[in-house]
Amino acid sequence: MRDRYLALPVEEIAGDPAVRKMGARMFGNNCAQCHGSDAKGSYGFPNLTDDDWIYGGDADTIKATLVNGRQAAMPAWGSILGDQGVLETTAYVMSLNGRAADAELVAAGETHYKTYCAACHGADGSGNHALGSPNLKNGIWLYGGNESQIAHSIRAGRNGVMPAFSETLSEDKIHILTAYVYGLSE
Amino acid sequence: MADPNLIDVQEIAPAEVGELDANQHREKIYTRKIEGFFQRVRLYTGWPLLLGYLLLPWLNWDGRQAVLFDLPERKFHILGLTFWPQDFPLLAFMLIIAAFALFTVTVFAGRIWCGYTCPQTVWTSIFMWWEQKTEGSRNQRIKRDNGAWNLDKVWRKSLKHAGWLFVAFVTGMTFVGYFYPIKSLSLELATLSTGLQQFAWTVFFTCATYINAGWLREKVCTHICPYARFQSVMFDQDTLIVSYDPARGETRGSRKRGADPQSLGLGDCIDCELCVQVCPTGIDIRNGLQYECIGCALCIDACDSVMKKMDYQPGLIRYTSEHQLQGGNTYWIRPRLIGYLLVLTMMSGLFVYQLFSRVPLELTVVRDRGQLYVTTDSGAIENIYTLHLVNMDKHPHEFVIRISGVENATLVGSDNYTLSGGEVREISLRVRARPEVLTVPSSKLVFEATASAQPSLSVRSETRFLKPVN
Repeated sequence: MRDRYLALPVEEIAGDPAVRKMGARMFGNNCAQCHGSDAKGSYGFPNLTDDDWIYGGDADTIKATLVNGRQAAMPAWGSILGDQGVLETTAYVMSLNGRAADAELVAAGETHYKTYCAACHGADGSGNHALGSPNLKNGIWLYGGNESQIAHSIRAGRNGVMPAFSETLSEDKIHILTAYVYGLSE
Repeated sequence: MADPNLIDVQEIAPAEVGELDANQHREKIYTRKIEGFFQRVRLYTGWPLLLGYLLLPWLNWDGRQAVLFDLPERKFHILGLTFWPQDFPLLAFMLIIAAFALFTVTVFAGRIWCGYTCPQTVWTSIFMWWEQKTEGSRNQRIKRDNGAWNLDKVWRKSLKHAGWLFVAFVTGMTFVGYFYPIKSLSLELATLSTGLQQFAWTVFFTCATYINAGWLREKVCTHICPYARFQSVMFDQDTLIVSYDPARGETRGSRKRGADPQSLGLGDCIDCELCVQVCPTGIDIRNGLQYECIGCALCIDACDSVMKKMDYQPGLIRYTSEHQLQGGNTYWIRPRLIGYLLVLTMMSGLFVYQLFSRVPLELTVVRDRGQLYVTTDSGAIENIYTLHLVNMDKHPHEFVIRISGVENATLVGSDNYTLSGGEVREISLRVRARPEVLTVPSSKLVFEATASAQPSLSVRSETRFLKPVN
């Protein structure tokens, strides 16, 4: 029965009640452990029901994430920036999403940002799907958005892992799961 | 001189022990056809039950089969009611009530169930009737069975078995029709396009009916049916039993019609053996109460017809009690009967109460096992739950989910769900609370689902809300 869906594009079957029902069960078995049974995620595990995607939310990218998994690599900048540098960069990142920060620290932080961060997160901080670098401006934080949490991310880096499911789930199951996840944010 | 310390040796002859025949190889029973009052009663009890069984699956109710035990869907429709596996205790209740009804009737009137209503008896009667139609009377059948095979014998036997198989098939198909929509089943069977399951079960019940009513007959009652054996504990001396009156009948013996039995030293029994010939279990009722007797009263009708011909009083074989046979009176009202009646009434009352007080709604809450809790950016604590909401009503309802038990806790996600009749919905929800207001790491949280248009349709389910220890 699942084979029938494999021939159809994800966008087309995402709203099918049977697909949603099957997908929900597969999600409960394979994904809910980290992302929660409501798929809204938690600390370190992204929310799959919103419009913010780290690697992109189109059907092909979601499927690639499921098949191959993801290995994030945010380097640890603590030894390069030093304590003061981390403080300044944190202030700048906070200012990116409109939060109050010391103007002097922000100005110094901007320099650090352009040197070390902009390559991945973009000059304006809107992130890059191709690299899996999150948007820093929309107030959605995978590892927490308060000052100490942001500082920790900059200092120690982050290495989130999404496992590959190509070995665990068959192609038709991954197809349905893709449709389910795709449908979550629609 | 014999030694006083020794006991004399005595020769003891072993007592005569009859040979025990474990398989009870008995002669085939050829029943004689008989008509009479009790056979008419049997007709009036048997037909409505039979017709009810055969026609019930064809009735419709609310656009579905009126009685359908839908196993794949796990929904059991009986007229206007739909039962779910959750209602299983009701079935247990019903069976207990049925058992006590059986006990009550048995204490009062003996094996009424066996003789008048039991499917084994009803179907055996149908098969015997058809046997009479095709193979003729008792004597004709005995003669033909002992005779050589010829075209007439083959033809009559074939017709008999064909008729039996037809009745068995209708029975089997009807039975399967209680579990699989009978209209599609009959069509599928007619066009030979039925699924393997339906086909196999129809064949099974056809064969079972054919073997039971055609071949096994009284052996089911005497060897298989447990009720036949344990009913004796329910009998007392005031229970109605089919019995021969030996005081009146003995000494039995044949005589000329119109002869005065008293001058011949005879009782009323003319020893015609009609009571034996009509008996479906092949016993002689004149030997007293026997476990084989299913209380069908065929022998009463047979004996009464003879008594009438002889111009004697009817009732030499009759419904009576042991007390009456011993010359006393039957005590109709007795503690055992009242006890059974009382329990029966209580159970029935409880059943009706249970039936009409059940809330056709179920809510089960399962906490997510992956994480104990989720800390949000704002420092709030969230727990994730999966709600299993089952609308067992046949109408659609809009349900509102409320939570209580945790101070200032709020639901993240919709609290409003519309479920169609009979729908099972899984709902993932988060509950958010501030950790500061919670004094213990684990607090009781209650989910409540209520139909917005019908507040009585409401169920609660308890779970835990966890927060970090410090």
